[in-house]
Amino acid sequence: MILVSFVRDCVQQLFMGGRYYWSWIFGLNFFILIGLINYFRQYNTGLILTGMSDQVSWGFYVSNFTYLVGIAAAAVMLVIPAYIFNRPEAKKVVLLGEGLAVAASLMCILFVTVDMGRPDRLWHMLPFIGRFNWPMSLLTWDVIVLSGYLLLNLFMPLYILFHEYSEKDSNKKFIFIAAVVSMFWAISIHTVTAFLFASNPARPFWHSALLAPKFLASAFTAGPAFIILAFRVIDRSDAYRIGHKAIDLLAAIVAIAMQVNLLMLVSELFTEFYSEGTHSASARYLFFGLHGFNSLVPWIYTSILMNIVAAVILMVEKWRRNNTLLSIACVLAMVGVWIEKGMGFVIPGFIPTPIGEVFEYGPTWTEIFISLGIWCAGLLVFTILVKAAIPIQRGRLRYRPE
Amino acid sequence: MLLKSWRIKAGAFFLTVLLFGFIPFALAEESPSIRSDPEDFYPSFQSDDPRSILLNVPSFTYDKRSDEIDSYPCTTCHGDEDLPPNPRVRDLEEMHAGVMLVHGNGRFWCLTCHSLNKRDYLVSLKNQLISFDESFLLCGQCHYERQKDFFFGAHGKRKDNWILERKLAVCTECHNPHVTKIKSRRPVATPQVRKGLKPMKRIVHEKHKIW
Amino acid sequence: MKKQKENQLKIKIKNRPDFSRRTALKALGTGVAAVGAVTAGRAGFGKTEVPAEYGLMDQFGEFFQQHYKKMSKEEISGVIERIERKYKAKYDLDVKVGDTPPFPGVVFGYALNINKCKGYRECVRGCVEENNQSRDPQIQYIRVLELDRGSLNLEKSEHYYDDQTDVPKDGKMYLPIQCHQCDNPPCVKACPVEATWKEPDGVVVVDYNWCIGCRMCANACPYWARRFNWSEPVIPKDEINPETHYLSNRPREKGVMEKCTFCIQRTRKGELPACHQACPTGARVFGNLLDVNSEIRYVLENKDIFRLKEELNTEPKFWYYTD
Repeated sequence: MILVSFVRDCVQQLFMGGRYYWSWIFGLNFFILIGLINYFRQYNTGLILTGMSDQVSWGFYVSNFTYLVGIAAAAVMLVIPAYIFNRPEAKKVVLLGEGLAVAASLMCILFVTVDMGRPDRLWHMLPFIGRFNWPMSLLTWDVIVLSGYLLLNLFMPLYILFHEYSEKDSNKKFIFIAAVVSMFWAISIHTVTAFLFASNPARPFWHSALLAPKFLASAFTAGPAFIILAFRVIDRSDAYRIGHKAIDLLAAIVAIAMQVNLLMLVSELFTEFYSEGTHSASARYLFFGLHGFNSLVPWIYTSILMNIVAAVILMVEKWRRNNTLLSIACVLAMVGVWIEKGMGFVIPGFIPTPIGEVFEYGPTWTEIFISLGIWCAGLLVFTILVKAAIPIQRGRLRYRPE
Repeated sequence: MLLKSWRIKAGAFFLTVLLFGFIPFALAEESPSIRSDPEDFYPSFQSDDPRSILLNVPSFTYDKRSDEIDSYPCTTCHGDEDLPPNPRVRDLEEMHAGVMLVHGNGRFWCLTCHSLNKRDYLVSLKNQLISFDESFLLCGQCHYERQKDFFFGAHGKRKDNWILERKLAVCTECHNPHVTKIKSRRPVATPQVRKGLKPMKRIVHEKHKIW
Repeated sequence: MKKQKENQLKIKIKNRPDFSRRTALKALGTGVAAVGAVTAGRAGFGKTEVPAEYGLMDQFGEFFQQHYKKMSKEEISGVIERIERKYKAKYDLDVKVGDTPPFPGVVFGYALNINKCKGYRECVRGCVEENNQSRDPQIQYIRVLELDRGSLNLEKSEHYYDDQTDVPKDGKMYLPIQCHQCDNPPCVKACPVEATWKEPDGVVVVDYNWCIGCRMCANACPYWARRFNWSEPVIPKDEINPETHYLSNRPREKGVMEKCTFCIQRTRKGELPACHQACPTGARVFGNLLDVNSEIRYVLENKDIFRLKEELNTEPKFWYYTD
């Protein structure tokens, strides 16, 4: 009974909002629709509508997927202080972080699905009914950790919100255990995604032990940066006072992770170029161009520049506390890491091919529109979750037996 | 005290493993050399039959070459009494003027390989007759390494099956015995890149320097 | 003999349309989503085909078709009949889909004499014609690389040397690369659904009806041997080779991966692969690695051989050798 009214009240919340809220929702749905139309075309014609080829067999979709796995993993940066160390300022906002994790994992799954040649055969992946090549195939690991992470992050906030809504005490021990699990799980989703690439000795650029830690470092910059920006928007919309403490905590995390990320970049550059061999060809292509092909070179330097500027801003406490500078740094970190993951990591891994062909890649409009649609779908999910969660968190929405 | 005895035990165990671990190596037979080059392939005795070399060769069949040669049998003309055999080394002017004998760089002339008296046959260095179908017996006199590769499958081309009957293309199916160098020619069409994508501009590789 | 034939007939009747009880149960298990997918399949993937003789039941059967290795002999023959019906509907042609099992005691190996390869690309042509590869968009399993003499650095190779200049060119050598049928294949490890595996004769095959098109295998391959159907493959009707094998050269569909299989439709009948037969210079040697008297064994034991990227521990069954 309580559950029914919980769902009803939450859904009701979604239809209460001002002009800005509705134009936001409308805008998102518009781009989702465009994405859907483009996906329908791609589904019918085939992946030939993308810029991918046998030479560069993964492109924009997988780049976004890789980036979003990082964003999803970053939610844990709030879970740890909130549930393990009982920091009140983190506790206040942890649900928003988990909402972001849900949205990001959902986008990940969508990005993988649109990248598949035969999405109608997705059921072949189901254990027992299909054939699940576990534990050999790294992709099966990714399916497990991603869907598990999605469920975990869906379940935990729902459990907490539901208990707040019905004004019952939630089981603290249970939440603690779930928090510990999700802590390791968050690390695992990004590690597994890194292994997905690092498992290919055919692609020396990816075949690096540094990959998993580098993925984690960049994830813990881009993820919390995104959360900070979301908080600033929610803060301004006056729906929920988040306060500076939580944002400070996150900003410090971004600052540290960004420095680690840059350190790893330096170590990568050193190893690739101090004694450069044929295995450094992809790195050479990325940073300097190969045989006169250099379409990724401007991207990677833009990304590095953005990351450095963001790191500098965040390292100086006075600047970090300045709201405008903080927002700029967060945008730079987000975009910088996004470029680093796609144009700086996934695509150069394919160039040159294992048998030495240089064939460049650029996304087509179909790819861009579908990706945009998925991003909007993720933002829509995030909006919906936040919209329903905030009134309960603020104590405005409670169970009222009729 | 306890610790000490434990240590001794561990040491003894380690030594045992170390000692007995070598036994399998000692017992192992010396493995045969990887190269199984059939050394006894060429007969050491004098044989009057050029085909005797085939005794040591895995059996094979071949298509009749003589059916493919336009002017075969040669005896249609050379059997004539008007055309007596002439062993003199000279440039041929009438019938075979088109035959360019580049092979051998001037070391050979017709009768090095063709029989003077039995025109439908080739002839070996030991003056034995060799059929036009079995050129490999003739060519192998100089190109004996190639001949061995041909017999065992590393040179030439097998036809139809990889299993059971082994049918080989004989030397003259690919090589013109008079001008053996295979001519260069146009390759089959250049591969295309994925439909809808533009090929990259051609890379001009720096020419590889040997040093 | 006659009885056997009757049995076969019975099996055929029983399985037509191939929708056995096992698949039916699975169908129920997967439920509503699946039915939705079939409708989606009709709207989407069915669109480019001509499904007149290929009815709803066939499409249903296709959607729920089990993994090749999970099917019984009867189920496979049912599936093959359905696939032949599909080709009939699509190409108006009687394509024979075989299912010849591997020879016992045979592991295939290939050797290529790099002194003899002159870069004519005849092997590429022979392969495309034999294996029903899409002509538009173009799919080719063999890539012939042109290299400067004196270097085996593939990165300096020319993949697109032009077809208007005679080959071999002075100072160049040629290196054809195709699937090396690794004994430790990284592509098989990478596949999330076991749609690709190593057969007992050592050939790595793909079940085109099971592949989900994620391209993980293509990323894992160090020899760039896998090709993806980016759109519906197009082969002119008169160029289709009707002698096919389920795991090899039967016409493929959009969205699945394909690759060289050492022409198992030929080699499992004792014939030589198409690229071997097309090669005008006799640079290619093919045979049974387990037969100590085979030609391939002679080459491997007596010639100077090398394999590409041996350091990756993939154990290719494709060697290069010199005279």
